[in-house]
Amino acid sequence: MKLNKEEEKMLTGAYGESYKKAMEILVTMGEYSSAEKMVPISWADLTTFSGRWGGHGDSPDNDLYHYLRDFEELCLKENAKFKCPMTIVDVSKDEERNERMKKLGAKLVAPAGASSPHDLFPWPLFGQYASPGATNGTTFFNPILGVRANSEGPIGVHMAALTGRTPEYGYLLDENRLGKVLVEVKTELKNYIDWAVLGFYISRKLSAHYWDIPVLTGIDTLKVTSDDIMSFCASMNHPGSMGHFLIEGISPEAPTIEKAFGGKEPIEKFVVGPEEMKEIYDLYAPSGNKPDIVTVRFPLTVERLYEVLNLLEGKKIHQNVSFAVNLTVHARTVAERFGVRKKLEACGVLMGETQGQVLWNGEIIDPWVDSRRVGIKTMITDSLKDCNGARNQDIEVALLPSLEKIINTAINGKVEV
Amino acid sequence: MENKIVLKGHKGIGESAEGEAIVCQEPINLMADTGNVWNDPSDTSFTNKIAMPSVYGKKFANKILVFPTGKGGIFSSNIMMDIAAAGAAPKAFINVRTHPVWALLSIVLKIPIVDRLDQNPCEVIKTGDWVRVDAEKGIVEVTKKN
Repeated sequence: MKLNKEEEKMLTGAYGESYKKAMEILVTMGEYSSAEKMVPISWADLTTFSGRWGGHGDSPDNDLYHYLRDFEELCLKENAKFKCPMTIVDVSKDEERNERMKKLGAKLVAPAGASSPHDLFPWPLFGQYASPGATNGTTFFNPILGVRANSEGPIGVHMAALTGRTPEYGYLLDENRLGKVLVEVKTELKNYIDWAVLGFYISRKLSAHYWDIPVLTGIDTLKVTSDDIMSFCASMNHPGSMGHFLIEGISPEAPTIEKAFGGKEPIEKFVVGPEEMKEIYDLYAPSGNKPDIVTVRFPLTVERLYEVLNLLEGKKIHQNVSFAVNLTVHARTVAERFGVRKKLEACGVLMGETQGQVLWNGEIIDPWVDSRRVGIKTMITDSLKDCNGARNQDIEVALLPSLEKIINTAINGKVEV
Repeated sequence: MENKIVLKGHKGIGESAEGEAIVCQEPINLMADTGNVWNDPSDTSFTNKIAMPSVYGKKFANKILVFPTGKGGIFSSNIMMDIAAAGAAPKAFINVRTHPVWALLSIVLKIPIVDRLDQNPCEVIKTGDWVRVDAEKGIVEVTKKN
């Protein structure tokens, strides 16, 4: 890799061990990925991995936590600072870590989060390079904002934030942002769950070659909502790892199909129609077993918060069912300020404090981690990410196609097909 | 007669390692695919029947882990670090094309990794084959089990 003088100084230790270590990791990463140079990043984020919050593997004894803590302490000892804006969400309520991160120059931007781009701000802008912590951040920024980002996880984010640089490879390069696979969407997408199913189908089909960017055509761009897009982005990471895609007429880099492919022919084409959508719904179809837990885990925005309230008001969640919802920061604020939280809780709705958490018999649990231990056998959800992830517990996790069916299932204590 | 195949690529990360291969046909996300590690990081069984049909029930501890790429979420980072601390990390990673999260894991845990070889490792290598990875040279030597 060619480094400039500043980067060379960091690498050779002129600014101390912390910058040296960070630059060594970035250079090794860059050389492995055939990067030719470093580029400056405008923003870094550590929303998802925010320390000891006890869900999705962020356990107190987590070795990555200790690795990053040691690195943060080395930085503090040398009075090193993040060289670009760095945001974190206080998922962990880990005050020690928050203090360390603040001293390094990071900003706490939200009290709790849904680990989705709903809660990430300020967003970077078109053409800028960024280092997002959450994969669904990468999947939102690349295709929807035209920001250039790879998905490297907390280690990469730390090193990039400290040096203000990242190696130029993957989705940072012009040639890797062009479409490779044409996806013709020939089905009606009724709601955000259908959008998740569409994303899941594409991600699954391309899962072993996620670097071949799919371009979607056939979308009615006037009907799409931001919830649809967020849901699609989240699903593109499960079961595959699509960090970038293009939608004709929505993605800034895909005003037309020709521009999306850079004038080249697609290497592959496929259609997603009702049969393909059914294939995914069938994969996670309910068996008819009585649900132990029902969840709305795709983060509730304000619009869907009121939808849940309308569907539930005056009714009660079934006594044998736990019904838990996950909220964006904005929706949580609205729910608390305007009395929605109290109304929902009076109906029996359980609100975890942050992403990944569900209340179960008075205990905060993560279904991906704890289901078997606490005796959950059947889970009904609106989230394909849950269907994919909580299956690691070898329990039944089933998807229902609308918020109405999910809530009716929670009220009646039996699955509404 | 010994049946050897050599795959060549570019310089990888780390040094060299050898061992028995376990070959996944599906990309890996440890958060969603290996449910037992939450309670016991040394139990590296693939527990997700739908997502990982080619390796369901099998373990990757102390083997050469061959898989197309990483997928989904960034939590493979912390889970693999816990697995490594429990002494159950794979000896090397071989990918069709490496996901950035796994390249960084290789750097931090000093586990050799190679990708972009001249043949598809998920097709050429079979579970049970003996594999030697020389990441510095970007070479993989496969001794077929049968």
